[in-house]
Amino acid sequence: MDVKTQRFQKASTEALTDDRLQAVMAGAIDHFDQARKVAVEEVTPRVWETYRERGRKIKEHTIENLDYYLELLTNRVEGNGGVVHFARHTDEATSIVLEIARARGVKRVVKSKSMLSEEMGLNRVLEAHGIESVETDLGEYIIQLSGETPFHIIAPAMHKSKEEVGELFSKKLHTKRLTEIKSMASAARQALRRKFLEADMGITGVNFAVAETGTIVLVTNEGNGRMCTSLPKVHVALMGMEKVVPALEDMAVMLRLLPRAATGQRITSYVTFVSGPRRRTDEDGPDEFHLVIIDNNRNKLLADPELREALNCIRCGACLNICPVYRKIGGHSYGYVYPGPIGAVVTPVMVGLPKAKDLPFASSLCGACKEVCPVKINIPRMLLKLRSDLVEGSRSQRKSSIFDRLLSRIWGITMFSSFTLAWAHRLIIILQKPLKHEGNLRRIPIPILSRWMRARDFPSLARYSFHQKWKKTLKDESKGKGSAGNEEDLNVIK
Amino acid sequence: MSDTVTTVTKNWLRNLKVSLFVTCLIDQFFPQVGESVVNVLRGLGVEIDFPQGQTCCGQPVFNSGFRRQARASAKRLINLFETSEYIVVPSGSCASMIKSFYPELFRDSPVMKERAEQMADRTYEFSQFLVEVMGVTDIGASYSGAVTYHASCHLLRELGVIEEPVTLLKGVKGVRYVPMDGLNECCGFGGAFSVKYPDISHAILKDKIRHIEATGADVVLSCDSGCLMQITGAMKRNKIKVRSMHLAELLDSKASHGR
Amino acid sequence: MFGVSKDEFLMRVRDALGKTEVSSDPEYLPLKIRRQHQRQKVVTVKARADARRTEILDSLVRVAGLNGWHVYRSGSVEGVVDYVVSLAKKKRVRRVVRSDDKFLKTIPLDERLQRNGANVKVVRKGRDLSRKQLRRDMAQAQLGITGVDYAVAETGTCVLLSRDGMSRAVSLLPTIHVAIVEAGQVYENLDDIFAICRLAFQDNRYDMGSYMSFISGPSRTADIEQTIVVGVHGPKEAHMVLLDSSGMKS
Repeated sequence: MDVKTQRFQKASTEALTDDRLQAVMAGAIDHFDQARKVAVEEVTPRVWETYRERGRKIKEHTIENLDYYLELLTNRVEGNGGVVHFARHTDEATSIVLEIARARGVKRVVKSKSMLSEEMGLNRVLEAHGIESVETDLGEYIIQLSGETPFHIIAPAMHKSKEEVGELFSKKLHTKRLTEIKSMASAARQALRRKFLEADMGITGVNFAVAETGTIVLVTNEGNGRMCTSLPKVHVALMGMEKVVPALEDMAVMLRLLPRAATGQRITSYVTFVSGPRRRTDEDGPDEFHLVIIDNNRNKLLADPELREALNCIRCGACLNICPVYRKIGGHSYGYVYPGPIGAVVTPVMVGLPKAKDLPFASSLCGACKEVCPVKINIPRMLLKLRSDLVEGSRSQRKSSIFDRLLSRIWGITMFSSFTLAWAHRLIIILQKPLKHEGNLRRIPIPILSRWMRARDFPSLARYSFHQKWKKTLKDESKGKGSAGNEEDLNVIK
Repeated sequence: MSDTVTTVTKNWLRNLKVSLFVTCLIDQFFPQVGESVVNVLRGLGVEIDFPQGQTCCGQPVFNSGFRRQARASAKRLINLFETSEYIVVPSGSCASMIKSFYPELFRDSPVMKERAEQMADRTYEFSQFLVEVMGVTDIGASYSGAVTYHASCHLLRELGVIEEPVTLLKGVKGVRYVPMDGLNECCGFGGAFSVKYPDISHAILKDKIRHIEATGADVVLSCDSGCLMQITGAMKRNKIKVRSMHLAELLDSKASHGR
Repeated sequence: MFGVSKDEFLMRVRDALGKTEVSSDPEYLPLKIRRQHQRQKVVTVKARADARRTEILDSLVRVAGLNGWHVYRSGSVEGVVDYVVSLAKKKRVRRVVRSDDKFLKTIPLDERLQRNGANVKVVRKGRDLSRKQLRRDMAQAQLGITGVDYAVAETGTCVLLSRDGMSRAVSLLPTIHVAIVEAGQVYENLDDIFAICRLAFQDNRYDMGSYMSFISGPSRTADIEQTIVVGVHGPKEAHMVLLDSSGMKS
């Protein structure tokens, strides 16, 4: 996918001023968040906590021993008759997929949802090589038809109203103008049925990969995942290297966490466990199974102990749904594959911190994401870490504005001691006199603070600071005694 | 409680010495909040000292990525409060800066990290101190009116202080508590966030204001001055007649100082 | 070759982790359970399932219902057959496909369906049936009937393993899927199922089989305006017919 992270300020402003988008988002995101809450209540918060703790431990252990489990997974997949490929970055991954397709004369591909394939920009490349690649997840299908990128990890077409979808289908699928959501789903079902049955190759993502048994797991609702893995002769699974879990029994807790956190479901309609190509005696299934394990900058997250836990992510989207910032600016503002809080962490690492310098800062650090994350990822910590990298990190990471650096200097001087602070106070008291209006400031002619003033008043500095009040009255309040020490002494009254 | 235990508790309370870290926002903009804190604690028989060398906990520069500066600031504060038995902070975000992030700041220097952890252990947010340490829920204050409460993010999620402010406000005679929708939702302040991304900040704030107005309350309370600045700023600009108060100010209302 | 070798890829991972040597076995407990202990585990699981049969069946029925299954519980084989036949009649089913299940072979399902004018095909590759033909049959069928390997009460799930006689598509392509569950196949929770699967994996020379499908309701989506629509790519209706001859309700 093209990197558009530099456009953050513009893109987020566009989203904020798009009333229609704001209305659609308000309803949609609330729906997901409510569903998650209900699902958590159903198992009780106490039990949910035990799941979260277990989930986190499994991921932590796996990531710490990632090489071991990737090796085990590879051996077992190969033992099942599958082929495992390794790609350092998306170009290599795309070449692998192309080569598999080319060698088998593949002309038609059906795809089920894979964020990794978005990183690869896979569809575009396949089309360029004369291979039709159809997205089969309804949301992905919609945005493929409209030429957009996913808006949300779980619901890629969340930003589209049913009217827009109806219009899109009538234009692209040549249906009559549809108004009912049910009929739109039917139209998609019909159109895609044929594609499933005629496809030469199915490409899927991987939600989890069980090392012990060489099994990839797909968690879906629509049935397209089952179609892509059962009908075509060749199945290619694209896997981010962090998706592995050690044991089959680990899937129990993962399946308790992911559906609830993502859509508030007890479990999705389908969970599909693929362990290699069909066996000789199977009635159907693909003759070939290829697993493409991809790095694409995940090693960068792995290499930094403070950022490593970002690899625990199970891509549920709960952090998006709860984030006050995401709820206002939506997925497209983030300018890359992964939006929301987790996106604000992984994107700068993947595309380069200076290019995505807004992402770690466009957060109020409210911590709601940390609270809802099913595997207890501490996103705010990582955002703070990235912020310090932007200021104090290596040459390739640093990008801070002169203004910020100047402000921090001024702050440093002002706050150096109560003495300097007192003088700053006196200065501001004088400067603010002409700006005061009923105890508040309406305008501040300093560039950065003036932005605050667009929609809010700013309080004026109090005539006497607490320091002054303490010295004058509060200190000696009770008994009229006082010890005049210097400012490093503790002033204790009896 | 037996007589001995009550006496011991009362004696302990009477001898309680607390150091106040008033925070830069309160010191400079809302000194009356600091006054209220002092009044409330003194009214409970607590002895207060105010280390005058204090300025800022360093959160603004820490949040902006300037950790070197934040460390310098933290060191000063750690030195200043080294001998304080209890440090009370009328701000969720400043208290959590000390408790959660000071040890983090000194992660690589074992000696400072130890001192930071020690300071963190002795530091309490104001409402946390009253309820958890002093076991007090009724200050003896009174205020008549409908009051709603905004839970500030660091207080809620870093410090885990959830019930205490509500317990305290409910203990004020005459107060009618009206919980707001989205009480735990961010107000959009986030420090520098509100000036770096003011439009996003404001979009988030609008929802909070809407929730406040919907309660019909006369007063909106918070334990964080940053949040209050953000909320008050919008209410004043839009001429909304809801009064905003720090919890300490409510607890200081017509307070009858019992012992 | 496109891409890199396994060794190179893993070396990069080790570099990132700061490891200089190939990792030794981290001794992760769940992976250390040997076959005999796994067998013991499964014995316990099965004993618990037997002991709490009624409770587990009630739970399965309740949760499956919440998930959108049409659930029918019968105390007799006749009841099961009656249900399927009347369903086929109601939906005006002309073509039926079914898996070549041991259990399904023993019940008079085919004849009854045929008597009502439906064409029943058993999905089994043979000399006469090519993959293409099979697939066409299933795509055109309105009703697909399968047995199950297991059912899970915790999540209202039917577990189907792909193998000789059990096609993947027979529960996927037709418009309606009927899963016939025997009471003895039902287990309490996901941990139980994975314990059983692991033993099967160990017993079968480390082969789990190519495909295991957890089906927990009809196909659905909420991708347009968060409105739930049932029946997108997979079956529009999922029916769970539970044969519980323990004497409890019908």
